[in-house]
Amino acid sequence: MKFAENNRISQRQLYRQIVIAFIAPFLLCLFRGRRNQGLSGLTGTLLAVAVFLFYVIFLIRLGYAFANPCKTAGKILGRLMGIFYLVYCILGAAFLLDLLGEIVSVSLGTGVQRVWLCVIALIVCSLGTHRGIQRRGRIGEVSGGLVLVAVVLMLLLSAGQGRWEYFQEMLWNSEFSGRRILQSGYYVICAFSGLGLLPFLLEHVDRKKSTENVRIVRETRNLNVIEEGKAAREVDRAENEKAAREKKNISYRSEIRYVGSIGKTVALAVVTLGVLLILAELLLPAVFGWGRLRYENYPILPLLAGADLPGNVLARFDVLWMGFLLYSLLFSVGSFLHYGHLIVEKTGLGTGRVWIGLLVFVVMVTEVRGIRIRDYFEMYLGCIFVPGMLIIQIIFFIMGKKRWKKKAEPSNLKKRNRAGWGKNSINIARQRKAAEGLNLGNYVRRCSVVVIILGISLFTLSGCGGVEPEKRMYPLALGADIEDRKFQLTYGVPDLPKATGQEKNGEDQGNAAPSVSGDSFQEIEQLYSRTQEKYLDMGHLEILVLGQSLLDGGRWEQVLEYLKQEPTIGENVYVFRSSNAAEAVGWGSPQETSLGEYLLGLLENNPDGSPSQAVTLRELYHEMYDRGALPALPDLIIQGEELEVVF
Amino acid sequence: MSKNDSIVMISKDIRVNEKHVRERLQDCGDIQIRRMRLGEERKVDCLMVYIEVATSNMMLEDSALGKMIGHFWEISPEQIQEFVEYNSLGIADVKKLTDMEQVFTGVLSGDAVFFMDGFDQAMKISSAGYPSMGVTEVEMEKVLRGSKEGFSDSVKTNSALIRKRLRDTRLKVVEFYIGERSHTLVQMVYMEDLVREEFLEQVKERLEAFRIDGILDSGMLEQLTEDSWFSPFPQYQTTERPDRASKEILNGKVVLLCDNSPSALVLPGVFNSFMESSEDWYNRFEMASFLRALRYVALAAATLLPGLYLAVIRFHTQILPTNMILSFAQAREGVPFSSIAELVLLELSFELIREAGVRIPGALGNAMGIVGGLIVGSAAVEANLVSPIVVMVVAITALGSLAIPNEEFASAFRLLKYFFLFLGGYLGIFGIVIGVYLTVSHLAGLLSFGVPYLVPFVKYKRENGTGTGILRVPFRKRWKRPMYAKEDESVRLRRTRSAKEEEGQNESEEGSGNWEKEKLRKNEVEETHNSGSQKDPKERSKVGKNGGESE
Repeated sequence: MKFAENNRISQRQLYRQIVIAFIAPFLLCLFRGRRNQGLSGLTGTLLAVAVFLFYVIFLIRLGYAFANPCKTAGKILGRLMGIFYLVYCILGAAFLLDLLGEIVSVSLGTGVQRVWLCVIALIVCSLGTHRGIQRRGRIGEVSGGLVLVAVVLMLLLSAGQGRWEYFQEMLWNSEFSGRRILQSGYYVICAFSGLGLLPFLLEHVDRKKSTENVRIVRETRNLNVIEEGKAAREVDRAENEKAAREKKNISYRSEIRYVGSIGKTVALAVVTLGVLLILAELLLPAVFGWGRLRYENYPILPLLAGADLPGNVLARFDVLWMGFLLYSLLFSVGSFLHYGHLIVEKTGLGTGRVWIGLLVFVVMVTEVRGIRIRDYFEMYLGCIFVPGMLIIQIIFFIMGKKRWKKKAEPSNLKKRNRAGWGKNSINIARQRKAAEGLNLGNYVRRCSVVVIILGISLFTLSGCGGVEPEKRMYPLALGADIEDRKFQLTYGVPDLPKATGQEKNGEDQGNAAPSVSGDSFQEIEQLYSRTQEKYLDMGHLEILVLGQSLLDGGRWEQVLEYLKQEPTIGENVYVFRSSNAAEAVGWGSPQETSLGEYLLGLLENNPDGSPSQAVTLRELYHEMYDRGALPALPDLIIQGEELEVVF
Repeated sequence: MSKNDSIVMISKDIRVNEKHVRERLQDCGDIQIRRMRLGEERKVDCLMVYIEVATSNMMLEDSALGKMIGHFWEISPEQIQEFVEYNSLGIADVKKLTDMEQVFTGVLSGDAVFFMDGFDQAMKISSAGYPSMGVTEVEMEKVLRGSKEGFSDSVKTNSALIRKRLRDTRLKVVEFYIGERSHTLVQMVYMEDLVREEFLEQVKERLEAFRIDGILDSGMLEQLTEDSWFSPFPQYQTTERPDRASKEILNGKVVLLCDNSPSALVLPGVFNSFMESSEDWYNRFEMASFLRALRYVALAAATLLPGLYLAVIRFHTQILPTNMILSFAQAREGVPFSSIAELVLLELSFELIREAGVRIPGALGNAMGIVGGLIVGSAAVEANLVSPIVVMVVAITALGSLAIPNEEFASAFRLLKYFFLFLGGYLGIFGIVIGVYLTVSHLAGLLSFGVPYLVPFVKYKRENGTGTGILRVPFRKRWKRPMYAKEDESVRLRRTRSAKEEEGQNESEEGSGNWEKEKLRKNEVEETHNSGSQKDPKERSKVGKNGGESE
């Protein structure tokens, strides 16, 4: 039927698919440990984008050769090529799945084991990946724009947290050399290598674009000629009309093949991604500082940890940011699986519906001598896949070109029709058959199995991550100090009924400030869980008080490292110093407000004591990684019932 | 034995006919078989077969049938023969029947059938038909502005209501009888020059693709002919409003009317069409656009809010401002259930109240809503069974689902809400993301008669001037029909010369832009038509069919 059953996607769908599939892997992986940062990183990215803009031209011309690899290069070579690409798809999916599992388990704290998270994600991504390109095209078109807008918006919002002096650090301290530029450029090229799968897709992309091309399409349609625009004009009209009369049942889709330009669309997608990369490369040092970036595995994740929306609607929206990135990651994994199926079908290696997913899972969990997919995927890309892919593409280009020339002769017109589209027509017929519901029983059975697995996973695998809000303790202030050579953490918890204004007579619980001491923070956490009934939720920490003993002893770095590992703690926490952190955190105002509430009010409600004079946790991290020292902290001085802040 | 072999033709001998009729209608107490002798000398044997209630007034003087019988009393038998053969009784709605199957179909449709001795044909004379409610006010799709008429149970009345709005000979009504035992009349209504042939063929194919004992409502028809029967999402748009159906016909869609059902099926049905209300096109575009956008927000709230609430309070409390999460925590103090159980229980309670409200007649139903919502809700909070926040979440979710104009579409999201609720409750934001991905993936695979369900959010090319989308464009900018209509009939709004002259020199640039646009479009249409005319219509239709998204 019209609009849907022709297994073709529009150029807009292609564009959005590329953007949504690459956006999260790029933002998450390309900035690890300052790999692609600084002036060299910027130049390298620009270089890589420029290279790819030219490479796209070559890539587009490979469409014919990759439409039927076994016909282009013979069965053996075609299948070998298929296996080469298939390995890439499997490794790529496994790598992204592993990445997804890590982000979810570490940053979102679902309480579910990482491997099970990956299983759930793999099942979700696998659904429908063998059901034609149109479905993926539509997912991409519907969600691609939203994800792109959301990512750009979030990046722009984070720009408000940037500082010029931090940015300058990058300008002065980053290494700018040819070697670094080439390294960085090749790194980005490797990241873009997923575009190497594009030739498999090209035959399914509609190429009507310019007015001229539309005219060609019409002309071609009337003549029933399968030919590229220019070639169509070269063919003798009368002969073609004769051929057309003989073959009236040629379908529309075959007629418009190879007309128009997909190159522009792909180039636009590359440029969009390049702009986003450059934007992120400029933002990250401006927000975190150059020194800190060296130690960040995924610097894009805490980018919004210190930002809030105007109007205090949401305290933080970094979780939403992660949501968009996760969606993009799911789409990327799904794309790898989809291309895996496509390659398997094109090279006649079976269906791959089950075993591709299984292989992805096996690769993801396999660990040999401590080496996992995340450790060798980068090397595989740089040393094996990218060079190998280029060689294969050149071979196929030459072989496909020869074939193309042979087929372009008018005498072979009839033969060409059959050769180019026979296999694909069968695939389309198969998809139609599936769509018509001839095998619906199986489909429903499979869906039921998936739903049951998901259901069981949900009910049995979820751990302690989900804790009811009333069973959590929300310290607004945290005091860190040294006592008897041990770390001492004091949690300043507000009186819940009072803080919410819902207190009734006799319900006054009073502020609490439990202290826990231990040699390490792990020990403190264990001790806390043994002695306190409520789950410690540090997500609302607003004030950090560092005790004098801690500062004098020089062990404050360990405290900061500990806080950094806790993803729920925002980086906009205000930091103070005090002679006795436990005493300061346990302080209650005459109005019985806790220290956290009191200091927040002091900083944010008083126009004279503006927060710009205060020091945030992010600044502390910056100084720690940059200079290994602390900035001057405001001092908390307690005199009787009075508390004074000395900036 | 083929069907043709079993057909019994009407005999000239009225006794043979009567015997056959009586055999077939044995024990059918509601059907009257009345013998009479007409003509001057009472020599002409006649037989009248009809359903008692459906044709109760046939003998009345003022009915056509009554007048005819009165006339037959006064003329000779020869004249009666002649009268029947050439004059068709002189009554407008009379059809000659040749076989007994037609006779029984006619009788069971509520018409009277008249046999005459010596004449091998019977007359089907339309009568009052089965009792029905007549045209009533729309219940489900109420509007502030616009017609109050709604479809009734009678399919003929319904097609007449559409015809009343579209008085054009190009409006075609094709009839099908579906159901081996129910013989339900289904009408396919479309505008001949707007609808695509391949689409029409497919609708016919699907209607004829199954055999069933009975079709009692358009809902059964819908489920038997849709693409993905396992999907909770309706793939046909349903409407009880003749104006809405007429509007969709003008968009190039097909409307299916089913006898005994006040709900018309509009096909294809796509995501955005379920979010439109009839009055969107009667109100000013600013307000209509705002309301449409609001409905999308309502849709998101109806589906995601409970899941998001659980994800936030159980996993990601840092999202909320400190005071808010402290309030939530305080409100939940003493509640014996987990937040998931609490929310599920309250949601189910709401579903119960809703279901009870629907079953209970008018005024009582409203009272039930108030009792359920206010008293049960506040009692549950007082008893510390649920927290007030959850009552608010359920209330906003319910409001969201009620704001969706199409009830069936809203129901799909009501179901989906539970799916998100569990995902959010057990996996947090990750679960919500997974749910959204699965939902989008499912919707992306859905087709309604070959049209992607997510149209207009997925489309082959920009549809300037069609007005499809979240925002309702002004009428002046909505000069094209959506893609369902034939391309050479895509222009819906033209400026007449006189209107242009009236505006004279003061015509805005915007307006002239439209005019130019239209001229350009006309040229393009002509060009397409010329290029297309080189083929015969069958071949063109084939091209369209295979053209798919690239059309």
